[in-house]
Amino acid sequence: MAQKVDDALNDFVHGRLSRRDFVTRAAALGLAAPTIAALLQGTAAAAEAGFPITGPMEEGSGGTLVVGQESNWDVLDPCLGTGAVTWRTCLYQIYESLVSRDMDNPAGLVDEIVPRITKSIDRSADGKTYTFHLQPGITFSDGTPFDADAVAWNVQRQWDQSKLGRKNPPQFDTTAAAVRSWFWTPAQLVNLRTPDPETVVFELAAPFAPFVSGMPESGLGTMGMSSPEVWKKAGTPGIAAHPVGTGPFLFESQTPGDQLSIVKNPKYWNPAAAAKADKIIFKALTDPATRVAALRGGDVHVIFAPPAQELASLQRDGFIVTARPNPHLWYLQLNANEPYFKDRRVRQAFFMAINRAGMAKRLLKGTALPAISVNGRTCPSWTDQAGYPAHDPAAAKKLLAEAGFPNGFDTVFQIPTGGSGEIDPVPMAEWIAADAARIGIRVKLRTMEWISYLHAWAAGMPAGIGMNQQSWGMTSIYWPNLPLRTTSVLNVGHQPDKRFDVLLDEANSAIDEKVAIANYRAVDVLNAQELWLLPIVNDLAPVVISPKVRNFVHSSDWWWDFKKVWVKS
Amino acid sequence: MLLYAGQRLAAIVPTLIGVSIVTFGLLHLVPGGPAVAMLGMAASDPKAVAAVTRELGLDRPLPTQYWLWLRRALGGDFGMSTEFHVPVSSLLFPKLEHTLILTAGSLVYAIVIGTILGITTALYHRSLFDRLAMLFTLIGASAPVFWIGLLLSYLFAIKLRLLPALGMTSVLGPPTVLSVLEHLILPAFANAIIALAVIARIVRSAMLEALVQPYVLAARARGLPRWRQVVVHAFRNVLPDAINITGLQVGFLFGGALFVEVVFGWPGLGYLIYSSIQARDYVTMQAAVLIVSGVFVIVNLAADLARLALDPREARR
Repeated sequence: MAQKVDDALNDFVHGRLSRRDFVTRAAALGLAAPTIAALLQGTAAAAEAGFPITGPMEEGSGGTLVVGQESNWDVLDPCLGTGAVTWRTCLYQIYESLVSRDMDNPAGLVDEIVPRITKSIDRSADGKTYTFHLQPGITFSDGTPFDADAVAWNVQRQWDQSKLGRKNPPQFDTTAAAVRSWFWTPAQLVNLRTPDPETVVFELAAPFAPFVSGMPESGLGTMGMSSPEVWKKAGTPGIAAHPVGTGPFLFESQTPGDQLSIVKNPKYWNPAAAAKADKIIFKALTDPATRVAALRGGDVHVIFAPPAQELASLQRDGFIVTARPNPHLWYLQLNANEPYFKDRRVRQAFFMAINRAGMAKRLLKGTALPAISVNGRTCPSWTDQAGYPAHDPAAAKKLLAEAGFPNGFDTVFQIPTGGSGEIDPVPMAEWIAADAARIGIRVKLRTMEWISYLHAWAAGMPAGIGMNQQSWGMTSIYWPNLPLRTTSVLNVGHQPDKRFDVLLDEANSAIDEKVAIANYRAVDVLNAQELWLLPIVNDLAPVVISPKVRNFVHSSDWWWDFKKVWVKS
Repeated sequence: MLLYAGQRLAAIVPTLIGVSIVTFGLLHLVPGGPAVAMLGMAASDPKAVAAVTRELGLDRPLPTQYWLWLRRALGGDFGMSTEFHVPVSSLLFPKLEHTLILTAGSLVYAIVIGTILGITTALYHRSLFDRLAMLFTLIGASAPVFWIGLLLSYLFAIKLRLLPALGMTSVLGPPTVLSVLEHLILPAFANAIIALAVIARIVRSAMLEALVQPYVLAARARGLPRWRQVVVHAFRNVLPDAINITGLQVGFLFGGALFVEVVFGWPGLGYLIYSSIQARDYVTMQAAVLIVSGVFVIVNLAADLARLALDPREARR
């Protein structure tokens, strides 16, 4: 039956089946109404943008998939690799996390945490102890056992115990701890026990609601398990040079900055979820026109980050464009220290001046959706009911006059020229500046190269800068803690409202996840009133695939799972 | 001449040290460092940035950092790439080989087509062919290389499907010599086009001057065939100029391969430098610039020595 449901869903997302016909067919297949509703909700946003979630679906296996990436991957070490491209390229295929998300499920059950190398998780009644029961009999691809000791070894690479007055073990890595500090610092892990080879117990100082949902945030996350044996033989550089995990693919070779090959793991511990393709080759093709040429020339089967203006012509030529909501949020933060933004009415007026729907549809050619929440669309606490004001230039101009700025004011918008997840920041900033000018706010753009920008952004906005921009977001409910907590280093606009902290504390310490989600939504509602963070658009992250590719399901997260994909010769 | 060659060779060492100091200084002036690049979004935590900066030894005084780098580099150890966590030498030398292949292919185009075009346009001076050829060289010398690369790729790889558009060998097939040559045709031509235009113009101009010299007139008066007048008498005197300009072009072809490498996905040194700047990979950047500078200096020296060998008047001076 699952195959029939997949077929129906596939026909629906490709426009071959109307909504009514899909509901009728799904009901006939015995699906309950809530399930059908969930399926429709999952596909609605992508359908709204006019792109399917999947390519052709067909049982089968084999072939070599060639993927054109928009940038280099960096370190092939699950503790040190940071970029989404690194995880998508290689790490998610080779390493496995204790838990995962059902990212390549076309039904769109995006926030569901699914077991992977963990069989089950028990949480104590006080919410402070998590017991992970591991799948038995798993080995790393080098033949060494994946067990509780291996989990503890991996956690101790990135968990800084010196803060607890203990000595870190030899495998502890300063950079890994720095990259993962966003998780381990608030999680307040105080003890890690391995009572038997199949059990790992995490003891926290206080309940931390996002403890499990934060684990699959792989790019900045926690739980890609690598073989301790590799480190024992060759140290930290050995892990990046010879990645060994438990995943469905094995590392074959790489030329850094050019090409990386992985092959099917013939001894994957879960044969039902084994890789379908024989091999995947990733190519780093940083120039968008080169990626398109490579796809058209048949050199690659999949390209990421295609130029929006090429999508229609690629579709006409038989290529398939897929897209899907994911945790991405393109947002502005306003500088609370600038006098004009101290007045809430000015912040509201500025937000109401921005035509986000127009930007998504016209400038970005439907490859993004207007953002209506501080959370990404795949986050369980995402809501379309937060109450962000609608685009209304006339009302915005009136508000601005009421706030004492009838003739507007001058401000500076700091933006990068490009960067990870940034879509097309300069034209987008120009769009915002043009919209702001219509209500009298004169925005001057200050552009910077990406790493220089990150450096400046991380330092917080100085006087004279009115706003800056960033792209981020997590499927984990934890995300609003980063930009909106007054004490967070990511509160780069210095928003001073302690009410956010109270709500976030209540959310983080909630034992019932429903209570946590309700509090995170309350944070969103508060931000919709205060507007320190302006959600602008959610990228649908379009991908173009060759018609030869089978079972390609657009991921609902920053990371991708390629195990179901194969290539028809 | 030997003395001259010795002096020039001795000057290479201080030149390269100077280049490395300037590169080192410039890199550290750019905002954001390897720690920010490595941490990405986590760079928003100043404690994390400080910890990684300390781990990389970037909190030491600049002269100390430079001295430590130089001492290791002199021993052949260029350090570990902060972007990929692999030894820089394992990144650098394969890519150097790739860029040298691209440069060699481009040089063949530039010398063969540039010289033939220069000679023939001089012989048919002010003809329609001359004007069309000069228009071609003007466009070639003025158009952006990446744009020409994309046009070539569109025409020959996508529309006509005659040549591959991507990489140095077939992605799915074995990496044979034939496959490399096939993949070299388009990027080498795109990379060569400016050098080709410059060589054609210089050869044409020098040939025009040589063709009216008395020794060519004398050869003609002696009844020598036209090809001997042109090749043996006129072109031989054009050679020093041609070699001089070719030597300079080799450096530009090598250093300028970046654009073509990006457009055609050619895994070379130029692209490595570009990505290491973006990732603030100081260690890789420093070594790569040193290698490019070394090749540039050595090629120019070789061109100068060849010029001296071909023109004894220069050697006597």
